[in-house]
Amino acid sequence: MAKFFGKILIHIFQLVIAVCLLLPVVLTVTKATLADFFSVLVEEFWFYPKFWFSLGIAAAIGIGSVVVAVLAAVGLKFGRIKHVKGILFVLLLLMMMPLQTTLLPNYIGLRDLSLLDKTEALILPMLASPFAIYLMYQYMDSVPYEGFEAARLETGSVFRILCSVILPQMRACIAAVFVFMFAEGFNMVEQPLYFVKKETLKPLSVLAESLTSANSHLIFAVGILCMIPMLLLYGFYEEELTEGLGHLKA
Amino acid sequence: MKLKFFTKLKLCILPAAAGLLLFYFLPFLKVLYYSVLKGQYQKEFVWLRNYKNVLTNQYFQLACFNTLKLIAICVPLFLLLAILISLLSLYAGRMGRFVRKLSILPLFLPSVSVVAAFLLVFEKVESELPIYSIFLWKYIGMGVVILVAAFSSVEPEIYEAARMDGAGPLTMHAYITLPVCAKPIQFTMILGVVYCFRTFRESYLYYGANYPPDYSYTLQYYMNNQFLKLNYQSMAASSVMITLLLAGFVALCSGRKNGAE
Amino acid sequence: MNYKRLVVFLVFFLLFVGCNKPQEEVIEQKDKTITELSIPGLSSFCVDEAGEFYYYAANGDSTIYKCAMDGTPVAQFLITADVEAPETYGYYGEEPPLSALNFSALCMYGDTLYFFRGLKSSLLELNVTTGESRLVATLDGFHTVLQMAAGEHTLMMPCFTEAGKQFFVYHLDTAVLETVPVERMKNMTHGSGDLYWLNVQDEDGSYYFQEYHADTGKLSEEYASNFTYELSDLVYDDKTDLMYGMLYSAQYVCFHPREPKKVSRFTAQPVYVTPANPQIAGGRLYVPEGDTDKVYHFDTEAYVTWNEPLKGYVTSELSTTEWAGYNIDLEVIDWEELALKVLAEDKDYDFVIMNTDMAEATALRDAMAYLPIPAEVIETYWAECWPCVKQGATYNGDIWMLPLEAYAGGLVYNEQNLNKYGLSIENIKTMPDLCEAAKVLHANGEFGWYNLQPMQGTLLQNYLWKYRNEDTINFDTKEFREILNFLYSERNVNEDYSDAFYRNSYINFGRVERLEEEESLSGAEREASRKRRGAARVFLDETGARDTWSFEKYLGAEGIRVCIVPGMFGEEETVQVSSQFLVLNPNSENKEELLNFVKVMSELYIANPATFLSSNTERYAQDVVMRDVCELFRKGEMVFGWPDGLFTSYYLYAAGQVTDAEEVIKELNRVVNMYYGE
Repeated sequence: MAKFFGKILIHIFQLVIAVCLLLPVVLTVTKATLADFFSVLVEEFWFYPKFWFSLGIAAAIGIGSVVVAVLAAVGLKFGRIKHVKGILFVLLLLMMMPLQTTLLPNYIGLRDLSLLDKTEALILPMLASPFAIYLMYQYMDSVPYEGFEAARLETGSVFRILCSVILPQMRACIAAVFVFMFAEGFNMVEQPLYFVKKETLKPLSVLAESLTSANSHLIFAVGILCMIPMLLLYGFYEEELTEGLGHLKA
Repeated sequence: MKLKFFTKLKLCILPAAAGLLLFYFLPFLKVLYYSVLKGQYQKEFVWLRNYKNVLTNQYFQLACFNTLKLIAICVPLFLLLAILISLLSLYAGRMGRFVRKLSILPLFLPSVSVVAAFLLVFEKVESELPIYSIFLWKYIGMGVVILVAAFSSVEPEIYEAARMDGAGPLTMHAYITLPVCAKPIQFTMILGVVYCFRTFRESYLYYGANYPPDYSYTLQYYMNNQFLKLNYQSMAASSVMITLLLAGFVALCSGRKNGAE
Repeated sequence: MNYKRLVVFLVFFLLFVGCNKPQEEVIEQKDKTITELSIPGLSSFCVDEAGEFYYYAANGDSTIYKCAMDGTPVAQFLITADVEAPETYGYYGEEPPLSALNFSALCMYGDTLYFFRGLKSSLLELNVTTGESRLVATLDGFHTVLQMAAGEHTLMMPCFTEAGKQFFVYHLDTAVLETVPVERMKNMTHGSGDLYWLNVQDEDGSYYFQEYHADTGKLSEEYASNFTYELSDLVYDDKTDLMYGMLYSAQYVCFHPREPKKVSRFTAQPVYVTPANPQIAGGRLYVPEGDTDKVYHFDTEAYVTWNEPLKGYVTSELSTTEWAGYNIDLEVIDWEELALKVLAEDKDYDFVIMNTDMAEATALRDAMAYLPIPAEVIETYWAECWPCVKQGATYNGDIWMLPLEAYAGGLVYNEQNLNKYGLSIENIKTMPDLCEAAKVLHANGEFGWYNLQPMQGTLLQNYLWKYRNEDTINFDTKEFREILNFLYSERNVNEDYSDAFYRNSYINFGRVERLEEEESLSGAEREASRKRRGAARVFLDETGARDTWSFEKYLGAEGIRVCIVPGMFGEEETVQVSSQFLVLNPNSENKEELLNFVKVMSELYIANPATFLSSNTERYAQDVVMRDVCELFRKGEMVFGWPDGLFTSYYLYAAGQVTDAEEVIKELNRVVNMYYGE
């Protein structure tokens, strides 16, 4: 009896949470009228190029950071590196550094490499992400050492071992890191504002700046449209995501 | 060139190390350098004077206080809520799955679109509540995803054993789930702090001004205003101090976790 | 290798190179005279390629006239080719309007002149050597053709159709008429052969240039520019690869269309109506002034300086109009971007133009992010300018900026009109007195309302100025409360007057009806007469301390005087002077050229009395108004502004949207002290 009652309570709680989560979304949706959607999708020709550009950058960041993180995790775990705990501590610390801290030096760095006002300026700084590396390492910890040992007996090529033994087991984590880095890349605001000046290189996330006051009602429609790729991505990869993040243990 | 196997493995870290060095370490060192100068165009060393100026500035203290308040209130709330939602959603079957999928939604909505909605809901409220709400609403999804994954990967046998010993659901979760998932919980807490710093974006859009009401004036407002006044030295000094503080915080957490083990 | 030989060779090489030291360039003073051609009844004008003769059509007749440059008529061509063509223009009334009867859109290629008659939609051509004319085509549906451009086998015609301004290409060989396949095209001009240059606006509002081969339909790549305003009609000189146009009505621009960011800007002949159909021949630019039957021409070489292009940032493209013809890559930027560049010590720009109204000016100065200007470079300037200008431009012993234009606010009043109602400026010592005077005028049926908006700004500025040397500003004082009460009562108690205008007749200056005598005058004289009549109606014209406004409209009017705007309490207020200024980037890579530029600009601006920089009263018009204005600047002090948004609660209170004065005081105290204290 208590169990039944408990179950109802739990369901009510979930309902309340769902409503709280949905309320602002619904408010946003209601403010976006069909006419807005129409004008964004059909009339305003800036939307599609910006959309695909944002998607492109986010995908590049996702893939790039996965590659970098996998390599780093492999190196850290199997490469017999000393003071791994120290490195992990530093990674955690770097993850917490607020963006404003490094904004100006990054700008100067990019400028001296003459990468400003180019797509690379948006992608490169995000490739080495402490979050991704940390996550990948934690996951890789769950990969048994024996498989690696066995593969090492077969071949001396790191690449082969990577592809045949490690990567298949890391699928979940790779998906997780990709989804998170994709979300980061899609929603970044400060970097495009400061590192890039050309209008064509500014992704959708800095929309507030470029929309004139006449078009401000389009913000809601664009917001909904931005949500869609993320939803799709999350929908497809939810299982992997859950599994990947579950392995955050020592 | 035939490299030894383990050397090759060590080299795998190179891209990550290069990226971190270039975009995190070197910039931090630069910031450290700038923080001991008199001005960007007056390259004299004044060492700790900037730090003293910043620490004794009443608005920096206000900003610190507000930021610490934000972290102290929001992060535990964030953690608590995330644990509750994820745990209970695992019991709620289909609805639970739906809620889990829903919780990630706010994270992907661009801030710009949502701030307007929140402005409507919290129109007359004169406290920091709107900002706390935005923070919780937007980032709870991340906590839920991580914790759900962690909780669902606990071996069910442990629960079986505990149930046979006569433990009720509450005790089971308190003494099994939470300790077993200590690492993910710690990670979620750290994530909470990271996201606390990110709420500056939403807060700025919400108040639309460089000088928000006193209760919402956090460290980033201070830093941003210094930046706009071309006083980079104060900004650099406060950045270095924040980083050191965070280092202490992380060290504390890791230390406690190690101790617990 | 024979090292000895190498060394000898090197030594000789170095000696040889060293010999070619650049000598002091002797700059010929080019002739800057602007010649004026007066053509009564002018409807359309065209110059031949060599610049020897010009052709024009005048009101009402079917003749093309040919004259030599000095005005002596050479030939006349009576065009009869379209006499039999039917009229296609529908008009109401008895006579068709001149704009339809006239030949318009004259343009020339080689020795063929093309033109259009709206009445019959006829496109005509005239061979000036043989004198033969013919009807090329009747273009159905076309009634207004603007500046036309002629190529070898094509013509490009901008026309007004139902869809607005559209561009068409007419192929002379095949008689085919088609539209130009470019959207949002704003302007065009002939390049060479059948190549035309197009000026197109991008989706995000910026302009670019593009080549269009009208015969093949091929488009070139887009050359992006930094222009934020639309250009007038353009003209291209293919001998020098330079394009000329006008930005707004005062600034001429000259640039290579493939590099449209590096622009030479100069002011030569201001025209009141944006010119249509400028032309270039023999290096001289011909600018017909619409509406006045005049054509001005001058030697462009005398106005354009070909220097190493400098890069500058500006907050608004039109804020500065005089550039001494220097080749500048000007870009509009906002403060966040600029702050980043300044803090990062960027080398890629040379100067910034800002206004002392902006709080950011003090930030720039306090951070010492400027290149001090050596006093020798701006000798004449520095010797002549007002003390307040000098004081604002000095910091820590350096001259850190070059003020370009100074502004001061004043109260303009018509003494005679005031006296008519028993008022005298002597008795108007405070702002409340001003309002009382306006009420008296209003009661007598004159324009006596007043506008609260500029008043609230002035009151606040005066209060801030009073306490500028304190550590923080306290708004919790009796004085400030009095100010708030005054604003409240004027808005709520004196309802008749709130939101109305006593800033009266200057807005009528343009709408004053034209009298017949005025009709007979032309251009500048007509303007002057219009102004005089408008000024006669001024009673009180209180202008906020920060508005840019021109005193010229009051010159020559009877009885107009200027004095300091009275403050709230009647004490002697200082005149707060603000200015637009130039700051040099200390990390610039073109320091020499930059200092040259500063020198030229300083001499240009000090010589122009409209900038109010010079204390030499002989430069100004000898007029009572000017003398009064000079007094303002003499008594003035340069003031730097505050950041936006600091005083919103005050303005909301003054606008009536917030009613709690205590709240306003508390909020102001909080925010202003935060700004000071951070």
